[in-house]
Amino acid sequence: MLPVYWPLLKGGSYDNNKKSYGLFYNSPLFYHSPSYAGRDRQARQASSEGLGSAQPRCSWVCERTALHTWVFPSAAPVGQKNRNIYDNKNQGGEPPTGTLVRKEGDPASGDAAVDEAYDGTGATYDLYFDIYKRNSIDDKGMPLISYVHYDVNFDNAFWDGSEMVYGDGDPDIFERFTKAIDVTGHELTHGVTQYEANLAYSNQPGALNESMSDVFGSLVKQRVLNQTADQADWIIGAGLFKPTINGVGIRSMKAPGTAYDDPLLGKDPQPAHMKDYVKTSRDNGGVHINSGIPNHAFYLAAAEIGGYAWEKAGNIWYIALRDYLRSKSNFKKAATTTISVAKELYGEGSKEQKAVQNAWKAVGVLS
Amino acid sequence: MRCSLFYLASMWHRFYLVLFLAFFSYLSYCAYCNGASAVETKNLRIYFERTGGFAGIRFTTTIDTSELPPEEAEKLRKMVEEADFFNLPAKITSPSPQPDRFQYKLRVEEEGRQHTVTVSEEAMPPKLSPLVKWLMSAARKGGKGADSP
Repeated sequence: MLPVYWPLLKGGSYDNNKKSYGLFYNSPLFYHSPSYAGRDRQARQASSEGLGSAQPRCSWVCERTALHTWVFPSAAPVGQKNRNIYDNKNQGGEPPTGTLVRKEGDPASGDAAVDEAYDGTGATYDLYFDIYKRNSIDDKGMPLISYVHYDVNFDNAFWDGSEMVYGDGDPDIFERFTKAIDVTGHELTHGVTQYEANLAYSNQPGALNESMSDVFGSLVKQRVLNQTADQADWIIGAGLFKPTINGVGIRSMKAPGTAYDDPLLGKDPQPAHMKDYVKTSRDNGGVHINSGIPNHAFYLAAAEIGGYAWEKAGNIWYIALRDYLRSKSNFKKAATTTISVAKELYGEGSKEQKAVQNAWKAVGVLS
Repeated sequence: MRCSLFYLASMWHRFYLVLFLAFFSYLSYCAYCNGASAVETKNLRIYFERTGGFAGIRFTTTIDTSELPPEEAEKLRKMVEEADFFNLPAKITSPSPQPDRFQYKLRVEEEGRQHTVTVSEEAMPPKLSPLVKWLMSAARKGGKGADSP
């Protein structure tokens, strides 16, 4: 028999994308996690019982009943990475199933996808922790779970709300998706966005969500390569295309719309300016197309500030994402927010504030 | 004489015969076949589109079973049938959309009927998955097909 005040104890929301504001929210002892942890456990149990991908999809009812678990964060002290890489063995599944092949501290496995996911996840954790003082995706030391070798001919990588999933590519166009470290940074940043601004995944907020992922994905890569803003290539997903495809990568933050031009794929459709904003119902309102505009604004700001892009421009964008942007924020809101954060951090009329302002003007978001 | 009540009363058995015939012709009409007995000879035209994903690159293809080798055409027809395509809802989406997932749009045209389904990858019905995989590998090989009208 549960006490009548059980809803208060249990915490607020059934929605996986929302934070839970229960009695123990943010408690240092333990807290209620509205994550997919319960579902993960089910999935893993199912896979260890040999059910594999035959496990039925988690229905709405299942999500409502099975997701709520109490998390004791003693396993993940502040600043300590907790990476777990699972091999899906091309089984697919929603959510993915798999066997644990490399956990935190294990030596390299020899499987390129496993080791790239491990290293990329580590580099992303390090950028967020060392530079922005963030302890993992939820800032509470959440374990970083990745599935590699997902499904067959799967030419994608995604964040499913609680873990990263990577495909091996296909025979004709794409290489494996762990190959580019910024893809890992991109997917993990979807997790950070989910826990912070929770930008809606459509139209301008969706394109901003995508852009945040590209920005921090690129910063992960730049930091690993120790490149300043003018040394970096600002390409997202370099090396993901097979050599037969005419393209340097998936997107270019420095010159949106120029990453590829191939008879099989067409031309990179990204705009760099508001006047070329693409109105479409496809791809949730063109979230992977119009992200070119805020992407380019970030590049311009970082280039004008100079030095390592993650230090100042990255910090401005991170604080905007963490503290000020909301689920319905559009490009204009992102512009005014980053300008006021720059002022807060570096002073009114500072070089940094001017650089951010110039950048949003140059892409036509501000006039 | 023929119009007399006596005559009509004597014809009752004929009346039942007519009812009987109507009943049997109804039995031979297969209500649940939904025209399936004729599908073998019908051509399918399928328009397919995939958008979204990390790369956000759109792939499309248009398939006409009359242009396929007979065994491939038969395979495709079977996949459409097994997906119960014409009875799928027009929009199959997940309550919480996930970033970087694919969205698919399929339109199947058959003589006399057509149906369009938009489906998010994370909400894909397992019975529809083989058809989508087949179409995607065709789209990948053939590059950008005919655009949606």
